[in-house]
Formats: sequence, structure tokens, C-alpha cells
Amino acid sequence: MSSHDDLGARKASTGQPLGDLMLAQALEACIRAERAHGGSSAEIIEHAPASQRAELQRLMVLVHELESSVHRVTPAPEFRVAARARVMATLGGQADSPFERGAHLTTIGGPARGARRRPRRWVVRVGAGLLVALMATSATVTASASALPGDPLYGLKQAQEELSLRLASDDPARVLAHLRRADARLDETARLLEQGRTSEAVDTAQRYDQSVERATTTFVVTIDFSDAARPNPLETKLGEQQDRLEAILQVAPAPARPDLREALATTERGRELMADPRPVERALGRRPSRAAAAAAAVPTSHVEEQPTPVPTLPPTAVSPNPTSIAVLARHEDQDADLEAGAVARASDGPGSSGDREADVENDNEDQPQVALRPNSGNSGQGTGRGQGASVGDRGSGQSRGQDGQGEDAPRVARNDATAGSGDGGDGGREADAVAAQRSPDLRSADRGGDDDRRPSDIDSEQGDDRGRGQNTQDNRPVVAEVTLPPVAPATEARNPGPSESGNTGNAGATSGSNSGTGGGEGGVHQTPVEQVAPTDDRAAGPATSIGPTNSAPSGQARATATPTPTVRRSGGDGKSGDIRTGQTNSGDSGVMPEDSHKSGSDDADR
Amino acid sequence: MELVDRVVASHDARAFGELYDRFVERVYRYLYFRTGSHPEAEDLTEQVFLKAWEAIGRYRWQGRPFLAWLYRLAHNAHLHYVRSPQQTTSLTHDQRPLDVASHSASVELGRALDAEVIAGALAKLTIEQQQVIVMKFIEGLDNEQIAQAMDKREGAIRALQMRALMSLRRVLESQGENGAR
Repeated sequence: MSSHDDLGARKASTGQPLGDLMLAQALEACIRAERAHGGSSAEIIEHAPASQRAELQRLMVLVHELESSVHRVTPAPEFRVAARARVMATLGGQADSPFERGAHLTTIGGPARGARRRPRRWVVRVGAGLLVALMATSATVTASASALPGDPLYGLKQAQEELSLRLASDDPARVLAHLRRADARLDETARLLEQGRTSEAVDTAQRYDQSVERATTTFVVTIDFSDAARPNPLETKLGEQQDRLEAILQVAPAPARPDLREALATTERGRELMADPRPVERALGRRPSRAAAAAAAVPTSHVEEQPTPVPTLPPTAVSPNPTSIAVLARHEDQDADLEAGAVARASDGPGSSGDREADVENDNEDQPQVALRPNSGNSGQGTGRGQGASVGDRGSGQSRGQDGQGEDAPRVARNDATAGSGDGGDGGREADAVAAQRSPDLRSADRGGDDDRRPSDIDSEQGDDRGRGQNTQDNRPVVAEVTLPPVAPATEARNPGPSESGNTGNAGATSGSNSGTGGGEGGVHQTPVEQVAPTDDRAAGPATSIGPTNSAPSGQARATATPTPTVRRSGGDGKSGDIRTGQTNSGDSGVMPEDSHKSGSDDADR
Repeated sequence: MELVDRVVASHDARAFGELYDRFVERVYRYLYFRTGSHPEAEDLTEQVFLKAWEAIGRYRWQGRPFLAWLYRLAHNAHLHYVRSPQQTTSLTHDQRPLDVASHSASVELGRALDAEVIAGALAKLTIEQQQVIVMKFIEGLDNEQIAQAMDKREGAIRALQMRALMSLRRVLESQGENGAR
């Protein structure tokens, strides 16, 4: 207010503007006074300059007219109600998003026009396009489910299978995805045989074999054994596949039968392993249980034209105290730990079962690859045991004897998979599994060419490759020599009768079965073939196996590893994977593989 | 303004309905004296409240009294209406029929006539003069509130209201119904 007074003072010199300002101030004072007390403006007018009094009186009369007219103008009651209803109706449509764009003021008579908004046209079009694309994709995928090899949609079918594998949330789901894939291959095999496409059916059967093996391997490696007692739907699934395979085999042409038998054997093994994975459990060190070893799956031979020969020797019962432990070699310094990387073990049983532990990957090429277990006179209880159970795992394993002298043999860790093999082959699977996870090189050697498998899936591939001798990696014979003290009895590593023949030529796969010779006591009579872990840095296919060496040179043990082709099964075609617990050995071995597993595992446990 | 806060914070339509009930008469009156027509005032009043609901988020940011903000909206609606080419040609004061139906009571006839005369005279003034006359003498706001609604200083409002009253008086005198009676 004072600022305006100052302004009025400054404009006083101009004459008229000053008069207007003074009149405006006097008018404002009259209005305030009149609002405060009616009629009080008269006093202000009287004190105003004479030239302004008449104007002030006229203006105040007009002010009264205006203010009195206020109450004469009111909205019609019907308008108030109707307008309120329209406004609230519009608000109801926009209440959730009053600030949403596109909400326009309604024009006269149409307050609700802005309330309704249609979906934008492009949204409708895009949605329709997506729906059509989704329907087309769904139809194509559905159609691809029945595609056979060679069909245009077969690639899509495989891609879908791969996708379901990749999207598997956990290991059980992955196993199930493998089994579904196996189902698809089995269905394709049957249909191809119906169409007379035998060669393609054979290929498909082999791929079925692979899928089952992957499922089995994934299962045994990842299963929670605490749930092993519960019904296993996967086993049921395999049982269904087995029944179907048997039916297919009955009507299959002769050229396809060998592969179908292979597939059947794989299914049987997988089923049995899923039914009772306890040997694997022990091999994995999850829940050591000697009693579980006796529950190893027993291979069946039905449907085979030539049933698997009955073992010539009864399965060796698990014995906590083996009667004999072979000593493959004795070091001069008996207390010294082995420098060799591989583990040679004795098995008191006629071990001959195929195992893939001979496929051990050894990273250190400079190391002697035959681990000769120094026997310190203990009762042959020393055994190589891979803690890490990992192929190619540097220094994670131990060579452990009862006397504990083997604890500090780090290089044995490289071949600790061999120790797993000594556990009955199941450990070998685990070892392979871990190895596959750790060693990408192994994956490259996978014959299946499926590069998208998860580590737990690849392990079976590894074992399979090695077992089938299809590994392209170099196989390096290993010779390790250890000079033994002359006083020590000549350690011998022998493979008794059936094992010898059975292991001959089975080196790659069966090395594990004969492992366990490491800590054996010298001079044992019943000594299986000394198995020497392969020295190959990659996943060596054929494992080195010392044949039925009758004796080591006096005072020395000479272990010679010679790459030999892998023969895994009876009627073997060189394809069988070595991961199969309880698989029948080459017919002449006549020994149930689980026997050797039990022996080996028992050794390991001890 | 608790009601206003509820509307701003939670977009409470019911609270906005209460605001409508509270302010619709004043907005209508303002627009009537600006347009000089009941139908136009009704249409514009409805638009003002719809616009208020749409723009309520900007109210707090501007920080004005809610009524002043409503007058601002009403003023803009009137300007839009006046400038709109689709605007129906307003009848002159003389041509405008008496809305007997909406003001059925005969006792209201004289008041309505007075209001229409004033509204007709206000239409001769400038926009700002109309604003200040209506807000000051029809709505009863003080100069501070008017200054907020019109974004002007109080001194300017004081001078503006004096000139607006003098102009209105001259218009009424010229129409034979001056404020001297």
C-alpha cells in the first residue's frame, strides 16, 4: 500500500493520474468500510476532496447495485442436479486416471463423450497380428511333433527338444526332458521301421540310446539319494520304453536288431540304476554304505537272442576284509608316496566289468602315469581314491592306504577317476561327470555332436565316447616304472582267468573294473588285471590296461599301459558306454560287473 | 482445503463432487455475468468443473486458492467460448427473451431483469474490467484474492476496479439504466 502511495506521490505532479489514484484509494476505503459496517462509507466520502465526493457517491451506488444483484443470479436447481450428474458420470469414467492423456473436456450437452475411449486402432492390429503369428507357430510346432528324420519340420522338432532341455529348471526336469527326447526317438524308430527305412531307424535307435544314457547319467549324478526310497517316475518311464523296445525288437528286421538290443540294454541299465542308485551314492561319497554296494543293478538278458553268459564266477560278496590284495608295484621307498599319477589297484574279485575310468584325463603329461602303490606291509587295504573324483582335476585326489602313507600323493589326483572306478564304476560316472564339467576339451570329443548339453548331461557322452573308443584325442600309452626293494616280494598283478580274457581288449572301458590294485599287498593270488589310468590329457578313449601280467620283475614293478580298444558289452560293437553299472562284460569274462564294482568300492572304502 | 487435498492426493471423485456443490453457484454466477446468458453460463460451468477434474494435478503446483483457481479456469473457458468461431451469436440485451421458465417466480422477474442489465453492461467492458467487477462485487473477493486470480498486484487491481466501475456506470447511463437510480 505504501508503494502505491509513493507512486501516487510521484504522479502528483502529473495532475490527472494523481487524482485517479487518490480516487481509487478513496473508493477502496469506502468499499472496505461499507463491507465492514454498512453505511460507514459516508464518513469517508465526507472527508474526501470535494472534487471526488460526487464521483465517490455515484460509484458506491453502483457498487451497491452490483452486490445486491449477486443474490438475484443463481443457477437453476435442475441445472445443478443435472450438471452434477453429468460431471460425476464423467469423473467415474476417468476416476482411475484423471490425468490420462486423451481425456478431453466435454462440450455442451455431451459430458460423457470423453469418458469412453476406444482402443487405438494400431493396438488392435498389432494384437491381431500377434495372435495370428502365435496360432501359426503353435500349429507348426504341433505338426513338427510327428516329423520323422528327413522331414522339413524335423529340425524344428529337434530344436524344440533342445529348448525344453535348456529350459529345464532343475536336474529332475532335465532327466525328464532327456527321457521325453528318448521317447520321441523311440517313436521315430518304430515308425521308420514300419516304413521300411531300416538304416534311418538304426540311427534313430542309437540316438535313443544316447538320450537314455544322458538321462541315466544325469539322474545318478544329480539325484538326491535321500529320496531314492520313494517311487521314481523316471524308472516307470524307462520301464515303458523298455516294454516298447521289446515289442519293436520282436518285429524288427535283422539289420536293426543289434542296435535295438543295444538300446534295450541301455534302457534296462538305466532303469535298474534309477531303481537303485545306492552304489552311485557310495561312489559319490554322499552316503557311504557298504551294504548298498550289494544292491547294484544286475543286468538282464531277456529278449537277447544270445543271452549274456552267466558269470563263471559267482559275484564276490562284499567283504570288509579282502583276502587278497594285489600289489602291482612296490616302490623302493615304501613310505614314500607315489609320484605316478595313475592309480593301479588290485581287486580281489574277478573284476572285469567295463568302466570308463580308464578315460581319466591327465593334465600333466610329464608325470608318470602309472601309479604304483607303495605297499608298506599293510594288509592290502591301501587303495587309490579320488577325493575329487574328477578327471583332470589337479591335485584333488588322494592315494590313501590304510597306513595313511598314500595321503600325500597329489598326482594321483589326476587320475582320481580311477579311484572312482575302483568304487564300482559308479564313481567313475561321477568322475566323468565332473570331468565333463571341468574340461571343455572332453566335450569336444563328444561323438553326439550335441553341443548344448549341460555339464551333467555331457558326462554320459564322455563316458560313452571313451567307451566306444571314438575319442579323437591321442591316447598315450603310459609306462611307469618303479623300482621296488629287492626284499619285497614280487608284486604281481594278475587278472585271473575270466578277467584276463574279458579285459583283453576292454581296456578303455574296463580299466576301472580292474582298478583297485594300488594298495594291495604283495603276493596276492587273486589279482585282476592291473588297470592303469590313461595318461591322455584329453578324454582318452581306450584306457591303458596291463594285461594279465603274471608278475612284476623281481624287486620292481613295471606297469605298462597299452591303449586298447574298448569293448563294453556282450556282443559288443564298441559302442556301449562305460557308465553302465552292472553291464555285462564281454561275454567271456563271465563276471558280473557289479562284482568288480563291489570289490573296487569296497577297497576304496577301506 | 481438506477436500481439495483429498482430490489431489487420491483422485477422490466423491470429494470432487463436494467441491462442485460448494463452488458451482459462484462459478455459475461469474460466468453468467461474463456471458450475460444463463444457458451459456450453464454450459461453461459444466466445462469448468470437468476441466478442474482433469487439471487438478496442476492445482497444488500453482499454489493458488482453489476458488481463485476455479475463476481462472472459468475465465479461460469464457475466453475460449468468446473466441470460438462456433460460438452462437449472443443475443443482444434487447433481443434476449426472458427466461421465465427457469425463473418461474414472478417475484424473481425484477431481479432477473436487473441482473441481465448489469450483465449486458459488463459485456461492454474490457475482459480485465469484467473480471475485476465480477470478482470484487459479484463474488465478494478482496483485492488480494483478485490479484492472485489475475496475476496482478493489488495496486493495479485497485486502479482497475475504479476504472471498471466508472466504465460500467457510463455504459449503464448510456443505456438509460445507470447506476444512479
